[in-house]
Amino acid sequence: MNMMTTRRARRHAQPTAIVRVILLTLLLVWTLTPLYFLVLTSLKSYVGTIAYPQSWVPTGGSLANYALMFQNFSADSVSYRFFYAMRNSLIASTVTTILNLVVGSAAAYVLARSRIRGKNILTMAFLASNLLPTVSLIIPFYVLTVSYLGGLHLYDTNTLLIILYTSFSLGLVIWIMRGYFDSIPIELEEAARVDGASRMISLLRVIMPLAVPGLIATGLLTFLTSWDNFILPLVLGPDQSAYNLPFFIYSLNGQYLHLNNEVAAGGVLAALPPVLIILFFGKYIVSGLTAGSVKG
Amino acid sequence: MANPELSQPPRPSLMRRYFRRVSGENAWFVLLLIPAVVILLGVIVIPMLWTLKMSLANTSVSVVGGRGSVGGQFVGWRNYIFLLTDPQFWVALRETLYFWIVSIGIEVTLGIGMALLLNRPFRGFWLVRAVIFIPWAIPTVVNATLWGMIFNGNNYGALNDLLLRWHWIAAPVVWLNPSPLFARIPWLSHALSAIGSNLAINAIIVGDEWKTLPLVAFLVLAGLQMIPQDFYEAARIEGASAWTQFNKITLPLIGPVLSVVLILRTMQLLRAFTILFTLEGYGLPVLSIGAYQQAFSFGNFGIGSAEAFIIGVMALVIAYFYVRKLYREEMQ
Amino acid sequence: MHFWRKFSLAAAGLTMVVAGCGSSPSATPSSSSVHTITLNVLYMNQAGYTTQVLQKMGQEFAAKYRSDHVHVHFTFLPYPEMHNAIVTAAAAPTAQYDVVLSDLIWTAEFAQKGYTIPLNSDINRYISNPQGIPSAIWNGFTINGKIMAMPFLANFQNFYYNKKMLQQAGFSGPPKTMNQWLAQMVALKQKGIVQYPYEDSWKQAEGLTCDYVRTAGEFGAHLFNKQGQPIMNQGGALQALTFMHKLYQDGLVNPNSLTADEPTAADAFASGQAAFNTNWTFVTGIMNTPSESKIVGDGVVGTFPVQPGTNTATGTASVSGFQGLAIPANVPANMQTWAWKWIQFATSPQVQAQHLHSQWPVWSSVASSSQEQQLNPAYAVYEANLAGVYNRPKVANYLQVSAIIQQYVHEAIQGTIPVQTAANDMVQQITALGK
Repeated sequence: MNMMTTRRARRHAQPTAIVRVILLTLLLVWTLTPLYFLVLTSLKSYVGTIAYPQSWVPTGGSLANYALMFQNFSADSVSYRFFYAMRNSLIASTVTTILNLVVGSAAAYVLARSRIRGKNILTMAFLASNLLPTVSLIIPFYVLTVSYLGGLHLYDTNTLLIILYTSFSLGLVIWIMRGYFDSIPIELEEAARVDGASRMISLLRVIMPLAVPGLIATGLLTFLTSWDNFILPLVLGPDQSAYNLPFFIYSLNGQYLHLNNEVAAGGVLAALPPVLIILFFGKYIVSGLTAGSVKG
Repeated sequence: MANPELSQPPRPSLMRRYFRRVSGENAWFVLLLIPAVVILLGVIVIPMLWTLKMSLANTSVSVVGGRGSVGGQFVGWRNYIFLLTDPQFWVALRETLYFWIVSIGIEVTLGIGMALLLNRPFRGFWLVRAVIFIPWAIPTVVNATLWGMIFNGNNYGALNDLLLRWHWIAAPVVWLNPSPLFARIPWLSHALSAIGSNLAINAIIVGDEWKTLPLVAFLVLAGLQMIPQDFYEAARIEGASAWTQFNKITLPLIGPVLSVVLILRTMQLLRAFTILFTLEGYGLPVLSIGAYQQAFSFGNFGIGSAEAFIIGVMALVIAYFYVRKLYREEMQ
Repeated sequence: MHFWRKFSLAAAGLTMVVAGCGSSPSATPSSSSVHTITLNVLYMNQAGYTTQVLQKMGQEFAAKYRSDHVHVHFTFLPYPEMHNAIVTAAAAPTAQYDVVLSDLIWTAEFAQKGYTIPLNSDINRYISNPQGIPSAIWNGFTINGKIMAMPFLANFQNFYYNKKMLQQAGFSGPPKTMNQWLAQMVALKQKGIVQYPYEDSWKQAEGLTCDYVRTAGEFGAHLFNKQGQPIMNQGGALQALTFMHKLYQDGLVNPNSLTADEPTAADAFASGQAAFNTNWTFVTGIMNTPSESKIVGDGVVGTFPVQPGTNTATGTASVSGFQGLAIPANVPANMQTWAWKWIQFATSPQVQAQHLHSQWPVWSSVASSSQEQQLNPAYAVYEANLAGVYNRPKVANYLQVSAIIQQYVHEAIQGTIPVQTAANDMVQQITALGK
């Protein structure tokens, strides 16, 4: 790794710099080797994945496994299942994110600004609700969905998954956004209202723009959490109308042989949207999270 | 709960009276808060109470006269007593705690280590940061299958292939088998087994940390960068060693960030299901997998609910201490 | 109490409705102006009858009943999720699936709990020649005279070996007895032809129970006696467990077997890492397919070695993995008619004859057809192994029993518990379940 230490560090001691280079190199190797292996596997044939010794350079690699995800589109072909999984993942994650931001920041604003009694306890309750494991709620979810609310036909729908995903990140959104609103001086808002703006307008015009970093951070976090969900589609949405990419990868893996090459290709594609998000917005997630929750 | 006024005829006036009380300023607040509260009640509180109710009955699925339903007779604490006397439950609890504590331990130490390593600016920092962050974005199922390929116990498993190639091992290691560690040293092996440590769970922790360490490190890094440099300058002038600086300045000041990390990660670790289930099925039960198996595989929804409720209560207790600590910090 | 219940339901409902407003339109199956009948069918992702083969069958069915506008809608799940989905679907007032693929091990549970309905009357009425399906297969789905599912495919285990490796070790043919098998494995290992001669699916999952039942069968024993009591701690069942442990201890079976499911074991065999594999019929297809195998031409399917003096009638011992089609008990009456029509269609000899590539047919007439003989040169071996199947115990709490078996067999194999102790514990725990 080509690196240059700052002047201060160089003045310190040369050995420390060398140790740092070594450690950073190790860190990169640790991070990149599995990624490289995933991509490499996705370019192999099935026989290539069960060969010993394994080939660690892409020899005769082909995009056939990727092509599989797009070609020969017919009912329940791999490409068909991939398409629906991708579609459902996009819909469910996007809608969940929007819903979470609207509902969550509205509540966070109230909890930050109002003098409603028990608002601290409420914030805690929201946060605590996010600590509950999915499994401890999935049985009643199922029972409610299919029996008591059976008339709504929510089973196997994105709608159901969106409601549930929302509940699983709402607490975090509220908690972080409340931190943001707390850190915005109340005087700013009051100044706007002196100018004649109503509370709603001052909220939308003055406060929200200041909270944008928090919205970006929590929004992306919600998106990624929803994208990742596996057990809810497994139990509540195993049909093409609701299953998501993790479910697709899981069923691809258990279908027949362990076609690791195809699983790897599917995995790379499933990871692509979140990886792009991280590459471009990773910085905002970190700064948003820390600024909101620590009120730096 | 029972409000006598509810049955009285002029309901609208009651509503109006209530709205008068919350009119103006407060009406907006209530309106903005309601959706979140409804979600909290409808999707968390009520299902949780439902879980409790099912856990106090011998709940099972039955079809009578062409109609399916879930129900059962009230049995009191019987399901809980069953669980607490079932060795499998304690094994699952042990594995859950082991998975949680070891993961958190690794994250705190290595996470801070990584953050310190990245804290000094160097050329190409943005690139390194982007690269290191990628694993965190990989979906858990993909990560699990990836590590399943790496830890494959045949010689063509990626890790075995490398270790065999370098002659570090003579025969392939079955990484994902929950076998005892250090089998040649009986007392150590027994001690490790007793705390729930085995080859498979440690391998899975490694795979899980590959994905999660980056976030921890970057959050800590953000915390580090908020510490004013003059603190360190001042300490150096006073001749404080690097360790003292770390111990007296760095650690206390990244405390708040660290607690955020701990909350985020605890909630993920206690509900950990995906990576363990994908790689081990029911073979390495943690509590959430045990609950899932009891309910959906064995059809004992009562016992499954009891186990699920225990996890829920555990999570809430831990949450309570965390949140209280956080708030205390915020008050200061 | 009553109020609280209503209130909580209302709140939960309100949440779902309110939150649902912002969501996408959920995909409703084609509801065109004509009144279509949608038949929801739950199937499993598997080799042979793949998702696409099933879709094609669904289209043929729709074409057959075109005037009724029937549409078959499939949901596919991986095997480990199938049972859970059927049980949970039984919790709904009205069934989500009109037809479900049922494994024979669930027969007793579904019958006792009433999750699926007995098909006796339909079978008596519409299946003119039930004797065309071997009684071993019918038995798998029958309990107390009730036939809980219509047989759909006949899966069972075969003995696969790599003839090239055996020749290299100086053996002209596969082992006939357990001792011969052991001796061949020892020779293969000692001569360095293969590091681990055998790989099997001994991960803590259903596959392990199957392999244990089969190995006990090879020693001529069942895991349960005629009274239904567990007897793993004596006789052939104990011998089998000792045998499995010995293979592990002596390095004859790949230790990876302890984390392997059936496809993983097949991977190892197809990659030339094992001389023996005992696995379901799908291995026949892959071992000689160049895109899936490195041992093309070397893989042979045979009958199982057995302990001398046992299994004299068949000369082999396998384990059954039959799948049938069943109708959930909460399917409305009008849909039950259509469900049966689909079952009759999918299991008919005519349709099965079109899918010989997919799986071994349940109908003897199809299995012994010249077409099958041409397609599958090993059909005689198949018939022998099918005749020699051992069944897993038919008990209502089967999955719990199986979980106990898996746990102790797994520990006994790797030696964390001595074999006899593990067998005793297994028996004790299973007996305790019954109480």
